[in-house]
Parts: sequence; structure tokens; C-alpha cells
Amino acid sequence: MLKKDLIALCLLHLLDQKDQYGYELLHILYEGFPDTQESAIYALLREMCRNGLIQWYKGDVSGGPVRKYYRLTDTGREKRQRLLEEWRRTRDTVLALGVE
Amino acid sequence: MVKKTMDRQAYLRYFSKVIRWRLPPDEAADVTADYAELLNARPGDGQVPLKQLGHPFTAALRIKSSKEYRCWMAVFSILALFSAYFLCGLFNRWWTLRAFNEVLFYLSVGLAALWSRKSARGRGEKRSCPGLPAALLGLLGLGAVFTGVTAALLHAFSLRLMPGEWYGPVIYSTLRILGCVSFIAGWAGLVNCRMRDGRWLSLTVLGFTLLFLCLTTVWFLRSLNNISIVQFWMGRHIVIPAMIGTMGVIWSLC
Repeated sequence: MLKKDLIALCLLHLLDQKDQYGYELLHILYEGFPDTQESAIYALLREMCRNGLIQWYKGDVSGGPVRKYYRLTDTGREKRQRLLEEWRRTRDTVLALGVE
Repeated sequence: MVKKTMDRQAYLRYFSKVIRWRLPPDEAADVTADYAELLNARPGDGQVPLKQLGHPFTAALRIKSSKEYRCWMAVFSILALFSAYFLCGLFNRWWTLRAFNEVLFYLSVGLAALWSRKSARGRGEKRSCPGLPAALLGLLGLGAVFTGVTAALLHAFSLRLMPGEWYGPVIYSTLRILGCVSFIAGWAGLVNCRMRDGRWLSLTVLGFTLLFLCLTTVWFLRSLNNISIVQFWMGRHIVIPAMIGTMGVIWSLC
């Protein structure tokens, strides 16, 4: 499983929990993957939008300024499920090999 | 020394320029708005940490380019290559493949006119195109002045009013100066077409037409010694490309 897929899984997972705005998403993911720049994560976010995995809308969910919020689509949920299964297989293989 | 931070506004300006080159206008505006929001949401003193967000150039390159961008790069490369070829012809004594030059000219005018229509499609709401009328008129005016000078010099030479040793260098310099200005105008049209509006390609068509006409005139003057034959052939081989170029400019503007 590539690192890009891993970040994609995390991104989809975060959006499965709740709708979030761009900076919030980028900040959380950068904290988790500090060697991946936020612009790379934004590019991934945009690609997912284009592929219909996520959608955006203008809103003020947290009572703050009007921002572009992202939410998961049904296609995105299916993709998340596939990536999750792939991640579990990878993790099990790595553990089975004794890598800890 | 490598910069570690960049001012928010400077970052956005830089990013916006690169992204407008890479993406169609609507998409570029959308991405720039996203980055403006990302930068404004960021706490701090207005300085953007480049290590965290990435350099604006890199950030823009990371946005996946579309098929449209790859097509544009192909069109841009072809037009850039043809214009450079014409410019070289003005300064190279052995650039004598006139038929080949004509084919390249018709190809470039056709390609520029077609692409300008493609780029302008879907932008009906933006009717005004600031700067373009002035640029077109300026180049046309300059072309008219230099054509007048060239015609006057030819006439003076045919009437033996000007010594041969003056005529050559003066007329070549005139044509070369106009050729260089047309080349620059053509390139400005190419860049502005991408960054601002597809109709700017009309400036490219006009620039390339003038450049080609300068090249053709130089070619005839080098090839033939009899001035009456030169005038006959120039009439035939300059009027047709000039008409094609004019039609290209009008087509690109509509």
C-alpha cells in the first residue's frame, strides 16, 4: 500500500466522521505525516473531489466564517472501505513477517 | 539562502501566476480561492511556513494538470518553434526554403486561430479584453510605418535615388526591427492567451503574419536582383499571406 493511499484512507476516514474544512483537514494530516507537505495533501483532496469521492459546499458549520467544507459521498465511502481492507491486509502481512 | 517563510499575499500572488498558466481560467480561479482560504485560516503573523505548505511553485505543480493543459503545451510549443524559426530566418542568410516557410506560416496561423476560439469558448460573459485593442492597433500602426519605409526605400532604389550601399543595410535593418517587434508581440499574445483570455491569440496571429512577411521580403530581396521581378513576386507572395493573417486575426477576435 502506497503512502498516498494511506493518506487518502486517513482523509476519507476523517470525513466519514464529520464534515471538515480545508485547513482543518490539511493541518490534522500534516501533524500525522509531517514529511508530506500540505500542498500535496490539498492536491489529493482536489483529485478526490474531481473523482467524486468527496463533495464540497460553502458553510459555517462551526459558527465561524463561511468556508468551503468537504463531505464524503457514497462512492467515497466505498473507496474508504476498499482502502481499509487493503490497509488491514498490509498490516497483517507486515505483522506476520515479524516486523514491529 | 533558502527562504523559510513567505508573506501570505506574496505567496498567493506567486501561486496564482503559476496556476493560471497550468489550468483553465475557471479552474485556476477556484484553486486560487481555495488557497486564499487556506492561508487566511492559518493562525500566525501572516507568514507562510514553506516547509509545511510547500513553495508556491511546487504547490501549483502538484495540482494535476488536465488534458487541456497538455494540448495547450503542444500548441504553445509548435507556435513557439515556428516563430523562432521565422526569426532565425531574418538573421540567417541561408534560410531559403520559402515553400517550407509558407507551409509553417499557414499551419501556425490556422492553429493559433483555432486554439483562440477553443480557449475563448464558454467565456461569453467577459466581453471586454483590456489591453488587446491597444496592442493590436499599436502593432498594426508600427507595421504600417515600417511597410511604408520599406516601400519608400524600394522605390528610391528603383529610381536610383539611393546608392546601393545604403539601401541594403537600411532595408534589412528595418525589416529585422519590425520582425523582432512582431516576434515579441506574438509571444506576448501567446502568454496573455493563457493567463488572461483566448482572444489574445489574435495578437499572436498578427505578430506572426508580420514576422513572416518580413522574412518573405528579405528572402526575395536576397534572391533576385531585378527590382521589377522582385515587386511582382512580392505582390503575389505577400498579399496572400497578409490576407490569410488578417482573416486569422478577425477569426480569433470573434
